Amino acid sequence: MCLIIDSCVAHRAVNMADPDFAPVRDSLSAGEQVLVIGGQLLREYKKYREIVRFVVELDRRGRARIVRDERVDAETQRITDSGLCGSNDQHLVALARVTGARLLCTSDGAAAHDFTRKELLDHPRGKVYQKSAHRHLLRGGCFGCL
Amino acid sequence: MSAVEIIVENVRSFFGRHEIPLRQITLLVGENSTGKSTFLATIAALASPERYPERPAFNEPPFNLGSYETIASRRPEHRRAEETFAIGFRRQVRDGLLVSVATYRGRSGQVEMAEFEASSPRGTLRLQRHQDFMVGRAQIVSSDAAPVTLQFGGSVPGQEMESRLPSIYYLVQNAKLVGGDTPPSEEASKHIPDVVNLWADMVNPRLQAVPLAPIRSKPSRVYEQLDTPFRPEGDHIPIRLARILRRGSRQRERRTELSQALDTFGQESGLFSHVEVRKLSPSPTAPFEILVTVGAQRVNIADVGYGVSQVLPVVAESVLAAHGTLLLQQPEVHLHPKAQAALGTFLCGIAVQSRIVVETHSDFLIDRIRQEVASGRVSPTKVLILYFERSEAGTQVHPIHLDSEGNLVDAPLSYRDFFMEEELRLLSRGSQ
Repeated sequence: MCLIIDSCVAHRAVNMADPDFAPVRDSLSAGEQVLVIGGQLLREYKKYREIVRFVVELDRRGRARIVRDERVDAETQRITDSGLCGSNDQHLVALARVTGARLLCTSDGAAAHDFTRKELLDHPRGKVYQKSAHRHLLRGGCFGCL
Repeated sequence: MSAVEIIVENVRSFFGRHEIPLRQITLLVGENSTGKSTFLATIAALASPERYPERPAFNEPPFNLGSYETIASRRPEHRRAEETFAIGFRRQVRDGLLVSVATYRGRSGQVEMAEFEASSPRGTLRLQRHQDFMVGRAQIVSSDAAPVTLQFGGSVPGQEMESRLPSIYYLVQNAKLVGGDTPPSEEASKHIPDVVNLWADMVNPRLQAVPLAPIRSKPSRVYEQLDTPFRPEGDHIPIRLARILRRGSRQRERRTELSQALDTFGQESGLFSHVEVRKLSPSPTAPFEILVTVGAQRVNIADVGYGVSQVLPVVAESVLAAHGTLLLQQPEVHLHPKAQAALGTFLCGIAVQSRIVVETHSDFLIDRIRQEVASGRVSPTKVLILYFERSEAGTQVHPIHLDSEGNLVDAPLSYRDFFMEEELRLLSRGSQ
């Protein structure tokens, strides 16, 4: 199963002292989840050295999938043009559409709202992980990602 | 180049039978003592059609697998080595597959071929050895006639005899057609060339292996103009460079190709910008020195970093051995990560005409090859990572493929476990 980690919480995924994101880290390490990255999200990740290291190691293990920027950026533009997105996180919805990932880790309420809207993501709908109480979401089956 | 699979059965840590694919670029990764070098040694042994299958070169430098006792698997629950082991290959031929497998047993501590079995659309061949006696059966298939089966047998040289020709060349002289006359028969003798051709095809995996040792020779300040045969440590490289790179060399195309390859790699790796050979006197047999340009200075190869002299044989041999199969053991030794990455790009260029099997611990080399795949310079179908993992059931070899974006596909969960844990521990050292 593929998941997306919003850049606003990516630093928490690499911090072993953060209990809310320990299940996410563990599921990635155990190979239960595959991190998908590309487009604007990848550009945001590149600003943080620690996150880059974590993502590179996931990538070397085959636990991350880098998607070509042009695919994500083109979809981001389509969503922006549709005017359906209330937040400025069209790139997260675009990444979900391109890859099939339907789980987003974020603490951003507006991004979470858009990710779960039927008009933006459907078949299946998007889900949002925000804290350890949401760990059951990490056990979901694969939606035929990528 | 056609697809090839290497067959390894009960060889050292390879318990049971393993069929391991090769691609144009095959990267062998995994912890120490997981069988990577054994696998390379097996490829080298198979790639000597003049010795495989009867006298496989298990101890030809840079490999040294030892005697039967050290080659045959010894499972933890067993006190003795396996009674037989096997090596072989499977390769695509025009109308199908050619499968060739030789089984060995121990005799006075040495490796002796017990059985050889091969099949292809052109026929089948089976040899069995009993002490100093060998029997065989060959079936020749052709499109314009009914299959012909011959059988033959006779004494063959003992272990101590270094037979120049494979035994089948002698045995087949007394072949008889199955269901035909007693040997030697005129009818059977007509098919002797077919059997010999069948054999020549079935013992040749078309690999033309060129193995390089993990540690290459130390650089010298001055080299003599002496003929030096191929050595896996690269001792032969200086004289070959001298002959090809010297001004007025008749090998003009080769000179240009080699010079460009060296300079391009040197510049991309940051190791040097140019390599040249300078004779110390006008005499044709004069000693010579190898000079490298680093920055604005031309210096003797002995006066630059060790990495230069270690990688030079790898780069030079890769160019000189075009159309062969390069067996490289840790070509990255003594190289800075920048040069390791440049080596990845260089190998991708070489893989257009050669097959490359690289045992490596370099993330940078592998990462760069993945980038070359993502850039479209190399097809993902031409690259394969073989992850060698130690387990109670012996070595497990996991093929890991790449997609068109250079992502790893089908990596097992255990792949790079240590690295992930180490990264997380490092990042969290201030939080505990």
